[in-house]
Amino acid sequence: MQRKRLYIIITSSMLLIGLLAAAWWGWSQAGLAVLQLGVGIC
Amino acid sequence: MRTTARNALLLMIGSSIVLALSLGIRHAFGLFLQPMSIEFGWGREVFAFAIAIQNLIWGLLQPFVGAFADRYGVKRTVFISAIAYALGLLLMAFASTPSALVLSAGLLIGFGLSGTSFAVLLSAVGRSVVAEKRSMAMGIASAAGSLGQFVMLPGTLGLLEWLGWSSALLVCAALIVLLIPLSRMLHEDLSSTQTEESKLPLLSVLRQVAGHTDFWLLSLGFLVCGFQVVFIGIHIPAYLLDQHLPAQAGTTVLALVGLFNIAGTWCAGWLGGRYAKPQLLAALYLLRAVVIALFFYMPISLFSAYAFAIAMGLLWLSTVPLTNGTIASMFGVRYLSMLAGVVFLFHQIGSFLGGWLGGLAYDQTGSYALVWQLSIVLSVIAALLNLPIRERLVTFSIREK
Repeated sequence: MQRKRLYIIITSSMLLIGLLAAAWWGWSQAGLAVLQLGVGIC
Repeated sequence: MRTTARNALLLMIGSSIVLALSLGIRHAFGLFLQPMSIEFGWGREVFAFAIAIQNLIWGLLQPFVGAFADRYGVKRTVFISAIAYALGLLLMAFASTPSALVLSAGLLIGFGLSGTSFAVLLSAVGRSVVAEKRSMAMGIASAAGSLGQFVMLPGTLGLLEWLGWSSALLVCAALIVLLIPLSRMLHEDLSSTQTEESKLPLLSVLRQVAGHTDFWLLSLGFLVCGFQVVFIGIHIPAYLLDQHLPAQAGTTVLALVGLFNIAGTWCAGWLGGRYAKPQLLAALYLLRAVVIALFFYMPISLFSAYAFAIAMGLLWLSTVPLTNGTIASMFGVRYLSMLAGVVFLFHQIGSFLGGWLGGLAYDQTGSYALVWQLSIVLSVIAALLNLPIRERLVTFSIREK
């Protein structure tokens, strides 16, 4: 049971880190396109 | 696992997915401004007007949709709102006139957002867990919404470049359609909140809540939150360019705000389970005042811009679980969606003022200085407004009925 829980935690953490890394890369590629359109996190 | 615990877990996972998709897609709407305006020969005002209507409808409908959710449950609310949201995106993909854009992006999506965003989902999550775990649960669901905002923007941009704006909107509509079957996960046991109080007419509830000064203090504080996040979100890239920083700095600042916002909302939820939420809110607004003041009055560099983005990101939507949690502590969970909707209306008024005054002040004075200074003052006021709030559970008077 504990091993299963550890497996779930590690897998979901890796997925989350991967998702965040991909999104960060996406933001860095977005560059001026984002700026010109006045997009913000709000 | 007991059925209630299992339902609560499913509700939290489902709510997190709904928030991530709904807020993530909404957050990327700005990307459609340029391609749609160019294709149909519109000025930017047409698209901006439709989005302004969307925000207005979202804010105005929120208390009513919240009341519906309190009465009929989050499952039905998300089901109906997701249909409206998906229909809005579908119509927007084929909109070729300003009125079609207002109907789709403005009215339908505005309605869809009111049933698939924080006020409704966080309240359902809050209702499903015991009071001690409420803040943490709300923090996790809020963090999912923040994650959606951070991830969906570059994702939508990729879709736009790959498929074009119309097909990208169809993909977004398909993603929102997923929320319709997903709403089945959002099972709530509303019978636990059905008390004698719950039979009160809504107007009587609102009248009694309106008699509590703390409710207004909390709402006015949340107005300041809306003012600051929209002012900074919209105007910071232009401000950094004015300060002779490279254009890429604006994108990096927005990305850092988005990234640290995820951690900030989660942390705020965790802290809210351990300390008094109004005092945490007061500290948060005070910290915002300090961060903004340091950024504005110190010499600007890339380092200071990124440090500002990280600090503001941590303080960004962390107000959301704390504000919703305070409402639950004061008025219970029976009318939580409706009351959170009323408080959210104040947030939207602040958002409107922050976006609009930022542009107006710049046009009138040639600088954002006035609005930065206003943000600092408002932040201190918001801290003072939240400080005297006490999390005492209010009992509704049945006689008022």
